[in-house]
Amino acid sequence: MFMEQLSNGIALGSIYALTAIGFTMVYGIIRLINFVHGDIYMMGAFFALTGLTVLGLPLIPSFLLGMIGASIVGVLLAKFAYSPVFKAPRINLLLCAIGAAIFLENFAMLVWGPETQSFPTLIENKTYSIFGFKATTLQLIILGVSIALVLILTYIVKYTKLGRAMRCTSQDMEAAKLMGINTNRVVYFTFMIGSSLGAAAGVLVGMYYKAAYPMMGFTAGLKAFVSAVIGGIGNIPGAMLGGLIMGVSESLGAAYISSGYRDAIAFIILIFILLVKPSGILGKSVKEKV
Amino acid sequence: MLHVKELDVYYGGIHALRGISFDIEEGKIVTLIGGNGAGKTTTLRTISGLVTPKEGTIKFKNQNLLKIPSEKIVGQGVVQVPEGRRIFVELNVEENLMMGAYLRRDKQVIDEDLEYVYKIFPRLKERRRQMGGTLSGGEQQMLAIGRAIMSKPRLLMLDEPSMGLAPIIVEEIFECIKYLNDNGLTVLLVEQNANIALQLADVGYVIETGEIAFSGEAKSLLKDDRVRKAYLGEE
Repeated sequence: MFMEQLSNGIALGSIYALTAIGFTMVYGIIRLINFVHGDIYMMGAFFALTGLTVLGLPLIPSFLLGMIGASIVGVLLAKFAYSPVFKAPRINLLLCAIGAAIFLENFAMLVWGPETQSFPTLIENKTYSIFGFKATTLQLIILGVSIALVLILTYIVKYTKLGRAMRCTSQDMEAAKLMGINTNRVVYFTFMIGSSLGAAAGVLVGMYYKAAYPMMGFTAGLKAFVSAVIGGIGNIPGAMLGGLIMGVSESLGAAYISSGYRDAIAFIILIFILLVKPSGILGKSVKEKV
Repeated sequence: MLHVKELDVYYGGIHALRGISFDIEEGKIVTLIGGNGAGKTTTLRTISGLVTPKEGTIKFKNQNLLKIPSEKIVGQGVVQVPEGRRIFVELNVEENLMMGAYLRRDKQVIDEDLEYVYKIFPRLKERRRQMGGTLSGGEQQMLAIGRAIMSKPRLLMLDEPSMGLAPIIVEEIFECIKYLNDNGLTVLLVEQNANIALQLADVGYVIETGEIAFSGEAKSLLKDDRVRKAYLGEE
C-alpha cells in the first residue's frame, strides 16, 4: 500500500509542480501572486475537453489545444488586466488578479455550464509494477509529460536568449531595461509559458480524475501557491520540489492519517516551513550589500 | 552630441527637475555634481528613458530620445551604469558582461570587446565564472562598467561610480574612465564627490534642487568659491 500511495503522490506532486512553476515564474518577474493561475489551469482542461468532445480531435492535438488556448488567455490577461496597472501599487495588481479569476470562473460556467463534465477515457489504465513500485499507465504519463515539460522549460530558461532575458528581468527589471531588454515582451512571454504549463497540469488532472468543472482551479491554485512558497517563491526548482513534497505528503497523509485531512496537510506543511525557513526550502533570504 | 533642454520631471507631486538644460560635446567628459536629492540620478534616468518627463527635449545626434523606449535607447549607444551597480547577482561575471551585448549580433566583435574589457579589468577575467553577487564592491563596479562597454556605448553615463568604495578603488575606477575617454568615448559622470569628478572632467554642471545652479570648465569650477564652500568643504 505504501508503494501505491507513493506513486499516487508522485503523480499528484508532478501536477502540483507544473502548476506551481507557472505561479512562481510570474511572481519572479512581476512580484504578483497570480490568483488567476488556478483558473488558467481550469481553462486548459476545458479547452482540451472541447478539443476531444466537440471537435473530435485525438488526444495529443487536444492536449496542445488546451496549452495553447490557455496561454493565449494568460497573455490576454497580462495585456488587458495587468499591464494597465503595472506601475500602480502592487495591491491594485493583486485585486486585478482576483477580479480576473472571478471573470474566468464565470466565463467557464457560461460557456461550458456549471456542472462537472466527464473526460472521455482515452487510455487504457493498466497497473505496472516495477521494483515494488506500483504505477498506472496514467500516472506514468503524468510523470513523463511533467518531466518532458520541465526539461524544455529548463532549456529555455538556461540556454536561450529569451531565457537569459527572463532571468535578468526577474533579478532586476530596471537593470534589464538598461541592457536593452524589452521587458514587456519578457513579461508576456512569462505569462505564456507559465499559463501553458498550468494548462498542461489542468489537462493531466482532467484525464486522471476524468472530470473538469469550472471551480476545479480554486484549490489547485491555492496548492500551487503553497508549493511555490514551500520551495521558495520565484525559484523554479523550488516550485518543483515544493509540488512533489506536497503531492507525496498529501497522498501518504490521506492514506495513513485520514483522508479528511487531505487538503489540510498542505497548509500544515506550509505553516511548518514558514516557521522554520520563511524564504522557502530553496529560497534565498534577501541580503543587501551596500 | 547630447542636448538636454528644459527638462521638467515630476515624481507624483514632487517637482524633481525644474528646467534642466545642458550639452555634451563628443569626446568630452562632462560631470553633473550636486548633493543628495538634487536631481542627478533623475536626470540620468530620464535620459535612459526610465522616467518620462513632463516637459523638455533630449536630443542625441539629432534624434529625439523621448520618442524611443528605454530598450532602444541602449541600441542608440546611450548606455548607463546605474547607481548602486545593479549587476545581476545570480549570473556569473561573464554572463553579466554578455548581457551588456544583448542587443548586438556581431558575434566576432563581441568576443573582441570581451577581451578588451578583460584587458581593462584583469580582475574580472580571473573571476569570470564567479557569481556576480560574490564580488566585492569595487569588482562589482568594474563589472557594471565592463557590462556597459559591452553595449558599445557612444555616450557612457555613470551614476556615482565612487559610491561606497575605498579611495584606492575609486582611483582605479577613475583611471579607467579616463582611459576609456582617451580612447574616444564620451562620458557623462554624475558624482557627489565633486573634487575627484571635477579633476577628471572637462566641463562641470552643478545641480541644486532640480536646477542647474551654475556651470563652467571643470578646472575653473575647482577654484570657484561657491563650489569650494558647498562641495569641497573648504572655508
